[in-house]
Amino acid sequence: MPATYEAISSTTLTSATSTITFSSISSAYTDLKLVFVYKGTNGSAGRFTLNNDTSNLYSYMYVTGNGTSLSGTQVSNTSGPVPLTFGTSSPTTTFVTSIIDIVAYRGSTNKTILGTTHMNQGATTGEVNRVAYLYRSTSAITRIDLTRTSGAFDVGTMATLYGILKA
Amino acid sequence: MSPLLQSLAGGSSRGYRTFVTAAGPGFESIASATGTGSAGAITFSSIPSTYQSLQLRGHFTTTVNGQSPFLIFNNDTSTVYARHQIAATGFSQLVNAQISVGSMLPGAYNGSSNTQPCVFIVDIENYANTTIAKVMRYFSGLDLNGASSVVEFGSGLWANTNAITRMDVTCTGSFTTSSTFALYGIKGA
Repeated sequence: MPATYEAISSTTLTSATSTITFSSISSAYTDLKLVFVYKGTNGSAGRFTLNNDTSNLYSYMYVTGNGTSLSGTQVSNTSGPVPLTFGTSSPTTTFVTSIIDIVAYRGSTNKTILGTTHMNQGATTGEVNRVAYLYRSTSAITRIDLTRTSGAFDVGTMATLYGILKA
Repeated sequence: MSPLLQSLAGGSSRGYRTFVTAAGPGFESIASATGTGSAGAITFSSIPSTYQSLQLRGHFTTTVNGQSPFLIFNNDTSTVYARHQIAATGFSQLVNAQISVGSMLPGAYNGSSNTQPCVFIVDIENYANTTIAKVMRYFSGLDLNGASSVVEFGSGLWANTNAITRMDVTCTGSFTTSSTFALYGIKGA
């Protein structure tokens, strides 16, 4: 019997890596939480894909602040991988923290995913965002891929996937 | 069986490492509930006071479009609640506050959907403390693959010092049978 909240899998990169994949995700939980602390070898955004599906079944609504302004945008019918950040270039010296909550990941409804990212470069530029993603698939989530628009994740990048189980 | 975790470095090197650790022994499931399709209320009662904080995780659609969910504590419907929120839709961003109202909002302030699930996560610290008013914070999102989508976060105040022993999530209309709600307790040190 799985615990209520436990780490399913985790990694810390010891060499620059372009893709981190969580596959064969157990259906033993109710929700998934991915905690991702990363920086890149260049300034492109971190992204994720569900079930290795790069079709246009994704959409998202975000609100973001970048140190000088607040904005919100909805993006429809877009292809995976979908972005974790939306404005400022990702830093190559400080780490970005993104948390992704996939509630009812094994359910037969479309999937709504909550995302939170904090990026602080020690400068006036940066980004704090909240995102609601929609993945219009009724399939259970069994795989998550973390990638970047271009380039690789740098050494020290950490990703942990947790499972949460309700009563 | 394929490896659970892979890190692909440009396809040139391939390696993985997998380990499992018990990360959250202090995070316990208290109860869960599923929508019936015919009722607009989910009730968690007899909540024990043995935790430091509570987390309520909801995933729901409603039988009728445009129904905001509400959250009340201890079945108290008097106007002792306040709400604050930051929200964005495909049309605009807003900040909003309401005081002396009869409930809190855990999400979907501009209405739920009967097709796409709204998700919310509510955290309530010090819920069993009997000397302070209770504040909850929430994060919620509903993407409709169109401009009426919303992402929001905010807080709710229940101006009452009683320990929280019951919480109700309600909506006008009904929660569908695919709706799920789960209450967790988080232990202190």
